[in-house]
Amino acid sequence: MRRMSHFLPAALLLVGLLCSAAPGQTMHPVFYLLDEQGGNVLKTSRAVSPAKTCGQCHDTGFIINNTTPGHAAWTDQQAAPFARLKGEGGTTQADGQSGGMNCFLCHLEQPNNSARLAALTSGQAEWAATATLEGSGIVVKAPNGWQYQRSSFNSAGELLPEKARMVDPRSHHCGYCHGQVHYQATAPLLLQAGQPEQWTTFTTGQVISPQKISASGINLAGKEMLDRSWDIHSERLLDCVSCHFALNNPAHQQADPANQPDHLVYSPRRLDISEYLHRPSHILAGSPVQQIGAGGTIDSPMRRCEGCHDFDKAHPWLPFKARHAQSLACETCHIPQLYAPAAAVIDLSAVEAQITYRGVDGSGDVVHTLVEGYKPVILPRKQGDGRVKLSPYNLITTWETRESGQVRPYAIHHNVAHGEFVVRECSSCHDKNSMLSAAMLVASPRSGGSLELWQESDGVLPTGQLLERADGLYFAADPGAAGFYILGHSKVFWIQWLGGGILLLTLAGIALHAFLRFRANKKHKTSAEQTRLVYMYEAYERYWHWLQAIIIVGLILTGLTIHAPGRFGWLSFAAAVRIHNVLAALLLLNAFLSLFYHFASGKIKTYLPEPSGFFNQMFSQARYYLSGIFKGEPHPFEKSLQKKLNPLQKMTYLVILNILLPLQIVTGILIAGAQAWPEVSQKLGGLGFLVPFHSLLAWLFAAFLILHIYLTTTGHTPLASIKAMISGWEKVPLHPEEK
Amino acid sequence: MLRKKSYWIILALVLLSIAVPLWLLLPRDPDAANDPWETVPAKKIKTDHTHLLSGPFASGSEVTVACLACHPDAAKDMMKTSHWSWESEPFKVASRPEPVRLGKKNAINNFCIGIRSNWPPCTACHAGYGWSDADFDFSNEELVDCLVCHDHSGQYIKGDAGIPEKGVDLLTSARSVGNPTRENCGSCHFRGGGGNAVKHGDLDGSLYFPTEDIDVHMGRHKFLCTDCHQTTDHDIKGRAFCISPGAANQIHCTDCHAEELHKDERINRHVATVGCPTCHIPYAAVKQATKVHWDWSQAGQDIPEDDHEYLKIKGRFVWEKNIVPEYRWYNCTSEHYLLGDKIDPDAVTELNHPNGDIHDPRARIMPFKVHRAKQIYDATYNYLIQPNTAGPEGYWTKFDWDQAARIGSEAVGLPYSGNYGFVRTDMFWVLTHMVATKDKALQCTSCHGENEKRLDWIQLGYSGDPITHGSRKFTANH
Repeated sequence: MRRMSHFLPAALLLVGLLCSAAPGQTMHPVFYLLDEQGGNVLKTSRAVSPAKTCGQCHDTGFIINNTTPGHAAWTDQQAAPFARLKGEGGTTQADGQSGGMNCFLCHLEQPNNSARLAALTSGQAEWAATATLEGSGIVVKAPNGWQYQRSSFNSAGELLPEKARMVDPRSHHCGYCHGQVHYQATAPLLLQAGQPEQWTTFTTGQVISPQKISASGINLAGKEMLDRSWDIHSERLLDCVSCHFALNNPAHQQADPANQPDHLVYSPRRLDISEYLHRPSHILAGSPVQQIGAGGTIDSPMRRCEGCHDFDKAHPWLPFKARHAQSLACETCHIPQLYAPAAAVIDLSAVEAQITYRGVDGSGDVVHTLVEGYKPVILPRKQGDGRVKLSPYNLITTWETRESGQVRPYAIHHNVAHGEFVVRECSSCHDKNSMLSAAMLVASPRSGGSLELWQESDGVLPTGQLLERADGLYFAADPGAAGFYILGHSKVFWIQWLGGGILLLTLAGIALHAFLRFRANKKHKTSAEQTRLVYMYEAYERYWHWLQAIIIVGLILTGLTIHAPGRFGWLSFAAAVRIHNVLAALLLLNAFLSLFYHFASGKIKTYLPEPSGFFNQMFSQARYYLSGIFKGEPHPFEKSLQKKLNPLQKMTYLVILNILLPLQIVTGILIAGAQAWPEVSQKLGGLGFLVPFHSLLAWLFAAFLILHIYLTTTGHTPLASIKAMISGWEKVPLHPEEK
Repeated sequence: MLRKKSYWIILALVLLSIAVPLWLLLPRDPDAANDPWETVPAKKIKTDHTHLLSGPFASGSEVTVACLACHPDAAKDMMKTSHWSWESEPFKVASRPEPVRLGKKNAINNFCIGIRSNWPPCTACHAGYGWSDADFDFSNEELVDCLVCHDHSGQYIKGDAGIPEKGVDLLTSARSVGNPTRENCGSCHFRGGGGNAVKHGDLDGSLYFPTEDIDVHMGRHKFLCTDCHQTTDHDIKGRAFCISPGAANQIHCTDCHAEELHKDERINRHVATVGCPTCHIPYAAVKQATKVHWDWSQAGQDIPEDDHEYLKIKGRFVWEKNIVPEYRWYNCTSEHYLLGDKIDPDAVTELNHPNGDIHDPRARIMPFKVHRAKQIYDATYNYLIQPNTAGPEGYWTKFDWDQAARIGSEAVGLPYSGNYGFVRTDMFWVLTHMVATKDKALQCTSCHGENEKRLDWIQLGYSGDPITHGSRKFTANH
């Protein structure tokens, strides 16, 4: 530190002057390689200590205390499921000494990871950092240890500049431990599966490569059609650190907008670059545990999708954008499939761990078997801000013993697809077979043993059931259990039975009634009654009535498609929703204008029941329909311009127009309004209540419609009333007094 | 009731009240992109000439006379074009006091170099009969060769000076005529430079019946040459970059395709800087190797010969297949070396430097096949020599460079000092054919980043990768 302090101003000057450094140039000054005691390794020939070496300029104490766990050493929790997989030693050990930091692995341009692993597994962990330098010319492995090459050092004992090239970590550095990273354009990608050390690829099948999947060398089903890159962000030249940046990196640091005054769009105050280089935090955005300030929340400052992408502008074609954004993580639609095998079942009950993979057809050498890829299971995840969103996961079952095993979820955030490979069809979710409730195989059929689902882990909720099927045990996701109601997919069965039952009863009753009337008509030929023509319905009344009728029929038909898009497929789901909403708005307008007309013209009176004797009148009307009509009796109630509606009609319309219709409208608005005012819809029951209720009312409306149309045939002649609603003129039987 | 008008009016009103809001409020389909097929000309119908010509025809010219009987203007129109004249319209050049006409007639390249004094074999590809020396009569209509472009019999072959070879049945050929096919065009254009696939890099025999992997237009959509090289009155659209200095009468991808037709906005932003072929012709010489290096200085040795390695008459070659193109700014015009221009013998002379640079708003980055050669030059006067290679006294017979230089220089009208040497030259061939299918187009990582690095940013005038350094408006390094 003291030795190098006078370099810092010079370094700052260099920063300013060399802004246009040629690509590949680094400005790292030369330095001594020091051992754990602080001596120059050229003299002591001991193992390099990165903490001491890098500590000459950088505050390695700070770094060690501010590192994503696992980057210094694996914690037991992380290592547990795989400890037995790795055998003795393995990478569960810390690199080197003091804090286990191996700066070279991530910051050397071409570190030697295989030499490092060899040192770790052969019990020479303290030489792991030194081994990482193998191949660069700095140190050479000899039978009796490692020998430093004098030719790589200058006369002062410092590393030569071309050997001291320290760089920002590129994706391939992360790939040493995290998963397969493949950047060579001309070499077709070949899978390196089955390596637990490559954690991310092993647990989820994620592969980071800008290459097109169709250009890979894998025996992958349907490869020619997969004209997309493995990961769109790596194709667009992002690195891991573009999103997983060091939390105090001044280039990426953004002030929390919640802490800024509303009028400030950008804050230029940030950490000075030399301060940052002196004390770079190694807690990377997106680490599971971030202790800085926010108290270990999962979603502390982190470059999520919305940090770069504007959802609304990116999805101009998507209806109900906010609704989708609230319920779904971007990954659900943008990572619909992984194309590399992932671990499915890890059986630790035997001496040697047995690993079964999903996404691969058959067993055997993964390189030659047919790879099919797999679709992740969609699980609800509670985010840091309390919101629950559906996100994709792989499930791995670990059998600790033959009797007990646990299913755990592993998150998927990479291998984002682009363009036509993204889920765009509404029917992917809004359909009987929705991807949101798809099932994933978690265990092959075997006798004995019980599987338990995970407890809430990293915010992921185990909502779903284990289903026994012929070919194994499946986990079926259940978004309904997490409070998600998906139009076109979720169903409340008793509502369907109740509503359907009422409709069927209505139909049956009408059929019976019609049959009886038909028979009665034969017996009692109605004498030609004398009638007079009354102009019953003026033009506007007829207009609003038929408009209402057609709209309601349209709403029912589109509503059926929304309810069961597969069965009622005369329209696509998206079209049905749009048309339903337009018709609903028209209904509202029509109803409102009609109500206004009725009030303004005074015709509202026809709907109001008379105060006295109303119930008696209702009963006498009912008696007419149930028995009098078969006997050829006249209507107990004569229709006139002022009294158009019989008491039963008044009752019905009272209920329909003042209770059912408003309820239907309000529930409809709240369902559509879940997009704009989610809290309001949530408070009034949420979609899980509103939609089934809306459906039940729809059943009742359908029953009413049928009943209403039938009852119009009870006029002077079966078609008299319908004709009257078209022409306006109705033949009304003369009242006995009038004759 | 059905007759009453008012009922129908009410019904109409009801239906309109529903239909109009639906029509207004339902989303439209995004505008269908311009359909490129609208600009592709309809395939012409072939008129069967079997019963129209009776022959016999003793020479090509007799066929031409027969053609002109019904197509009187054809020869006149043909003679206005460069397929006949082998030279361009006059254009101004800084280094010359008067406008210059440039074409195969008088141009120099770094393949077989030049045709003057070498006419009989070179003019086998001339669309005429009998150009065997400098005194060819370019005004004689009867010397126009109709059959080379219109023969459909497949047995019409031209020999030295463009005369049909012995054994060609001219009557069959004449009766078979129709609109030009790929075989008509390809018989000369695929075989420039002395053989199949030598010259262009994107024109070779694999294009006679290509699969879509070779060229999507000709393979998948069965395009003929004339579908893009549309012709009116024998004036064929399209300019040979190697010869033509100017940009008029050029063919552009945007003649059929909309300019910004990519779904991805980011790619559309590249259109102002990157030419369509750059991304859509990822490789040249896809199927058949092309010549990329020709060392004339090694000619004349008696060592084992191989068409693709070494020939005594020509020297040493390097052929390559599946070439990654080289990229330059190009604004559709180029500088041409004219015989007599001075060169720097220690530097590489570019025979047809593509014009354009990072500051030129009309310039785009385009892909080129670069042919590198070592060819003969006058060491005293410091200009390139056009040697006499063919003929009884030519290099290919006598293996005497001095004599070849002398005869050739006389033919072109330049003094020869007697002192010759060999100098490096480069020639640029823009790639426009062998368009790949769209899924094979270049990706971001082909040019940007540390992977393929197809573009040399510094050489193109950027200060670095524009992804990090900014676009050409901001970061030209000079």
